[in-house]
Amino acid sequence: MSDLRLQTVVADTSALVSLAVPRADAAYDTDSNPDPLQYLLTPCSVSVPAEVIEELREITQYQDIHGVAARNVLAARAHYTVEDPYDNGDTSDSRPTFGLDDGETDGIVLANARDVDGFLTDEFGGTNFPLIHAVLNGPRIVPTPRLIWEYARNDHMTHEEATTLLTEISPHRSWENSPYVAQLLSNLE
Amino acid sequence: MDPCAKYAHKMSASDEPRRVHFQSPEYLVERLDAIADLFDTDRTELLVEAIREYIEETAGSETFQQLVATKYYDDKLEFDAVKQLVGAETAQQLRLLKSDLEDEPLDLPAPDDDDIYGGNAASIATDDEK
Repeated sequence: MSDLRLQTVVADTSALVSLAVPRADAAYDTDSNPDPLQYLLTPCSVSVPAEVIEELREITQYQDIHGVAARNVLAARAHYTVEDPYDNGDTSDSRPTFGLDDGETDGIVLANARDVDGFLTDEFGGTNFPLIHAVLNGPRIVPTPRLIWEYARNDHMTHEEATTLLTEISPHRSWENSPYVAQLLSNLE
Repeated sequence: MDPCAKYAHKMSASDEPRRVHFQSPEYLVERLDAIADLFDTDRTELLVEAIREYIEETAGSETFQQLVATKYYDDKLEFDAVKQLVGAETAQQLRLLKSDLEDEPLDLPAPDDDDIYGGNAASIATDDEK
C-alpha cells in the first residue's frame, strides 16, 4: 500500500485554483461543506515552484471566481512551501524543454527532484497528460478530480459531498464535458 | 495542425483501393453523377472525397471524442478500436486515464480544521458566470 500513499505533493497552478473554487464561490458554504483546498493543505506536505506563485499572482488580476480562488490560494501561503526546483545538486540548473508551460515544467522537475508521492495537475483533458506521465520519474500523476474522488474513497468525506464538489467546480474549470469526470461522478453514485 | 487529416490516412491499413458495394437511393446517385459530370470527374472520386471529409469532420468533433472515451471507460470499446477512432496519441491519453480510474484507492491523510486562509479568504457571487 505504501506506493499508494499521498503525503507529499507538488501541485500545478490550475490544480490549486480548481481546489480553491468552492471556497471562492459565495454560493458554496465551506462552513458546512468540505473545502478541498483545506483537505489538501492541512494534512499533506505540499510544495510548489516559484513560477506557480507568479502564475497565481497573474490570475489574481481577473475579477472573477478564478481571480478570487487564486487570491485565496495565496492567502493560504503558510500551508505550502515554495521551492526552487533547480536548487539541488541532483538536478540540472536550467529548465528542460518538455513542451509544457513553465509552471508545469518546473512543477515536474520539483516533483522529480524531491521524489514526492504525487504531482497534482489539471492537465488530464488533453495530450499533455501522457507527456507529464512520461516525464515524471517516480511521483504518481494525480488529476485534480481524482483527488476529490479519493477523499470519498478514504471516507474523509461522503460520496454526496464529493459529488457536490465535482459538480461545483466543473462549470468553472471546463470539466462538465469531460468523460473522465463523468466516470468519477458515476463511481460516486 | 489538424490531427484528423493525419489520422484519415493512418487509419487504413493500406492506401490500396478496395472495391466496396453498397446501395443508395437512386436520386442521390443521379445527383452525384450530375455533380461528377460538372466537375469533369467520376462518382468514385467524389465518394472517396465525401467519405474522407465525413471522417475528418466526425472524428475531430469534441462529442465524438467524448463518446469514444465514455465507451472505452465503460469497456464497450477495445483499445485497438480506440486507436482507429481517435489516433494513437489521444488513445494513449485515454488508456492512462482508464488505468487511473481503475487504480486502487490512494492512501490520503485526514484533514484538520485549521483555517488555512488565516481569516483572509474571499468569495464572489457566481450566478451569472455559470
